[in-house]
Amino acid sequence: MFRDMVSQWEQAANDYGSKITSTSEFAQGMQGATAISLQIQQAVQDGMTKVLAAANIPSRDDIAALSTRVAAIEVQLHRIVEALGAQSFKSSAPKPKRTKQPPSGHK
Amino acid sequence: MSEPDILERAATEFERAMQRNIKGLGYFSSPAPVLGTSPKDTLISRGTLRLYHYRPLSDEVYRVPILLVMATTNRGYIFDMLPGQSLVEFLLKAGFDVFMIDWEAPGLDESHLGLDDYVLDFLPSCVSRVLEETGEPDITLVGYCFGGVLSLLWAALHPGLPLKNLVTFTTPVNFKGMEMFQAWSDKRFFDVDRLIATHGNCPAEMLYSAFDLLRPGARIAGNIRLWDNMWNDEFVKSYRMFDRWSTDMLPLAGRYFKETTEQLMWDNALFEGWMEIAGRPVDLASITAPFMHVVAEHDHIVPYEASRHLVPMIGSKDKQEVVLKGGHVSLIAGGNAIKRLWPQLDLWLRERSV
Repeated sequence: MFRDMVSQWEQAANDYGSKITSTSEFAQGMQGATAISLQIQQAVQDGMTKVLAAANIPSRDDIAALSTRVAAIEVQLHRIVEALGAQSFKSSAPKPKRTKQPPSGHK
Repeated sequence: MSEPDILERAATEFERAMQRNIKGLGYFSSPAPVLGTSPKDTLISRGTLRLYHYRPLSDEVYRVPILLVMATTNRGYIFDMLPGQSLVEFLLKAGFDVFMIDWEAPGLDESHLGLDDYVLDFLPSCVSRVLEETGEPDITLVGYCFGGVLSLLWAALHPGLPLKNLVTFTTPVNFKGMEMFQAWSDKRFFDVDRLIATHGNCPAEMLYSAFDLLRPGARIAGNIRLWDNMWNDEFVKSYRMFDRWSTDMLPLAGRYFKETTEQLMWDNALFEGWMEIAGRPVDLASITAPFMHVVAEHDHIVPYEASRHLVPMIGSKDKQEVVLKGGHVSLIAGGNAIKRLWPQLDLWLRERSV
């Protein structure tokens, strides 16, 4: 009985929630809140960038630029490894035969 | 109910209440389960992209390799949860050679990645690598959710390439059918440019909140059920497995998110027939390989209206839609999948993999 009650409550909550959240008023409210939050984040981000620059500390953009360079090195490394055959990264186990047939009578 | 029955029931409930308290303490103090442990080799590791090759579990495999294509929002270990509950392990034991395209969280330096990078670079690179590794001329692609969309786009843009079979699970094509996501991404209110300008990529937390909001009562009811079943080790194990996976979401690369929002959610371009990738028109009718689309009867993420048009749009002669009981996730993993989808997939693939 308790379990049925939980299932019924869940169903009702999902139905009611869907009804509310699928309205354009909800979408407008949700996206409005997101827009405000993004605006605040952008303002904080801009302010922080100036503070970090003054303190001689790298900002998120600086770290991202470094990350881009590391990623480019990774790509080059990957190409070198591929060119060398990448043997050390492969399993040394013998490869299985590729001849398996479906069991008969199982169409 | 007779008196002995009542006593027996009371004893069971008392025992369970005790177990709940004892195991509840263990639950909160134990680490999250380790998932995705089938032995594998990493063939490609490039930024957000990973290509894995699972080590075979039989001496003889079907000729055609399988490449699983994971959705970009989640981790691929949904295909490889725990021994005995792993689709990968099931396919390996059935005699398939299994590869998987999986994703790491794209970094800020990858916010420039777009649909064209996924469809015209990542997928073709992985397909070529699989063919090179196996020495075979063709391949089977199995895409889950948006991994299915990427597989469709790749297949449609590369007709005549080595596609032996194509399988998609819960893959949307008519994005107007995803009513809730449509409402939330209403172009009158949703400023996708500002989101990307601020964050670089679409944050995973935002995607998680959107998925959670689809079923507002599910999390609370899930926690109540967890408490109720705390005495049951199997239930707790399964709950933790799925809870860990569903909360382990990935951000989406900025341009990729913007393009999918604009082209698919707003313009419904794939369904309407004017989708283009890097200026190349996508025509699903140009896919002629054997095709199977499996959809879930109770899919709240990709409702049937969003997926039911896919099979008629594909050009293959050998094509079918399979509707199975279950939801978006329980279709592919867990007890329901083990019983329904996995055997069906094995049956369909084995005849087409020689």
